Amino acid sequence: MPPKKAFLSVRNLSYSYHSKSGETHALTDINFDLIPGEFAAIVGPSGCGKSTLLDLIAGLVPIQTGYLLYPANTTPPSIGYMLQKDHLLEYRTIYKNIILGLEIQHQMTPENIVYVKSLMKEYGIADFARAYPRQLSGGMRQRAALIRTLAGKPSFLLLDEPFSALDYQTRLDVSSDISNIIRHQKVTTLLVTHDLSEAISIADRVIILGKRPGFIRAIIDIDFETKGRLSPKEARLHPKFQKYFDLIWKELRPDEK
Amino acid sequence: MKNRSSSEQALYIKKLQRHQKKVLFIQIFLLIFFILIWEISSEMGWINSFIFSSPSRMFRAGMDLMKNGRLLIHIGITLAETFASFFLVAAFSIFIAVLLWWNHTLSEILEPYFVILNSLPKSAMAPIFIVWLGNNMKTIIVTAISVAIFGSILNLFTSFISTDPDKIKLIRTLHGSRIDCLTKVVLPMNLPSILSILKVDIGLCLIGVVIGEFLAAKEGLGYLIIYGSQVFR
Repeated sequence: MPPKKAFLSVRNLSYSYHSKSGETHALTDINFDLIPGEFAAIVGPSGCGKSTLLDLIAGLVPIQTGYLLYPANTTPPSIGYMLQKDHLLEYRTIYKNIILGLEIQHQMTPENIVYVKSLMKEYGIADFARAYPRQLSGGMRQRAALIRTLAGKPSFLLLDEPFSALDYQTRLDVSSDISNIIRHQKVTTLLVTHDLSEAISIADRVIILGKRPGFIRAIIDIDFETKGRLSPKEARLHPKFQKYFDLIWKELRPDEK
Repeated sequence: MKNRSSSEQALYIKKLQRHQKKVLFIQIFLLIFFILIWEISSEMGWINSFIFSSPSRMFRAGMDLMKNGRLLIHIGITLAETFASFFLVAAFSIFIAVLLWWNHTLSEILEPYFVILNSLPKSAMAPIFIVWLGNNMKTIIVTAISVAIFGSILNLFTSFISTDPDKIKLIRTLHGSRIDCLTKVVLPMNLPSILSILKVDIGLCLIGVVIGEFLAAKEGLGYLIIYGSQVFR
């Protein structure tokens, strides 16, 4: 039985891709729970089915075996899914890109527009509302993509390596921005990344996936035992950071001694 | 610092303008040179002016046709037929390409047929259209459509299905439907290729109209060409 208070329970989830040349097992028997409001990260080598897992949870790909439960809610949550690249549409202004989801769902209400504009102001892209994506830096574009995801006020956020296309410095900035926003909004979040340091510095819990077919190797709670949450930059400097890093590193490479 | 760079900028603009002038001058020079050589060689009897004509004779013939106003009427009719067939080609080919994009199975079934239809010699089809539709403008427009539409559908469809799949995934992550994928991504992203395909279509429609007029007309430029070749003008 799933724990009563879980936000999401993933049970016995398996997935295979089929093609003429044969069957590829992407995920096998995945089980885990998310607590309401937590920030969990999934790490694993490339090809371990991380993105497939997110696609399954987001409902972009039909589930073959296993099931998803949302025990804490009577209705499934509204899901915001942020992809690896910003995918801003070049023929739309930044503002038009940000309201794309609202437009699609016919939710261009005055409150939502005010909300979007306040987010844009907060994250420093209000001045770029009429600019086109090509006029913005990578970090700014990624912030615009985040606001686009948040515009529909999702209660569950899926992030598929949203920082991996950025250079190191921008990446630290944007990831601390994003972790601030998300903690402020108390949205339950599942982040997929191949970057260990990123996972440890942002997440409350790290789920480690093994490869081919993807399976859960370990789930590790991250606790820096401080009052309140450390910013990602502070977390990276914390003495326990290295301990967690080594622990997860070993889990990811069980064959090495 | 600013002064220096702006004087360099002015120099660059000057250089660019000089280059553009040179290109335009040579283009006009080539045209005049060609017309002069043609005129001189037919005057001097180097080429047979009965077969090759000459610019001055063409000019006189054109003026004659202009005088009784016939040429303008013929041009107007040909243009009207070209635009009519172009708008039909544009509307139908975009609609059919969208249908093929929408339904993968349908596109798999129909694609080879479009390839075959596209490669049919349309000038050979025109007499059949006359039998079906009569010796009139309908036949001419259908001929023009048949020349342009199949290639147009194939090119539009190819450009639609090569739309970045990640952009389509984006629409789906924002809970969009297939209609949203079409109107928010596929059509606007492919606008440049849609426009370039339509530009080719208008040329093909003109070719088709002239082919149609060769065979089934009492007016239009195609008719005039056939009439002129029969009376050796």
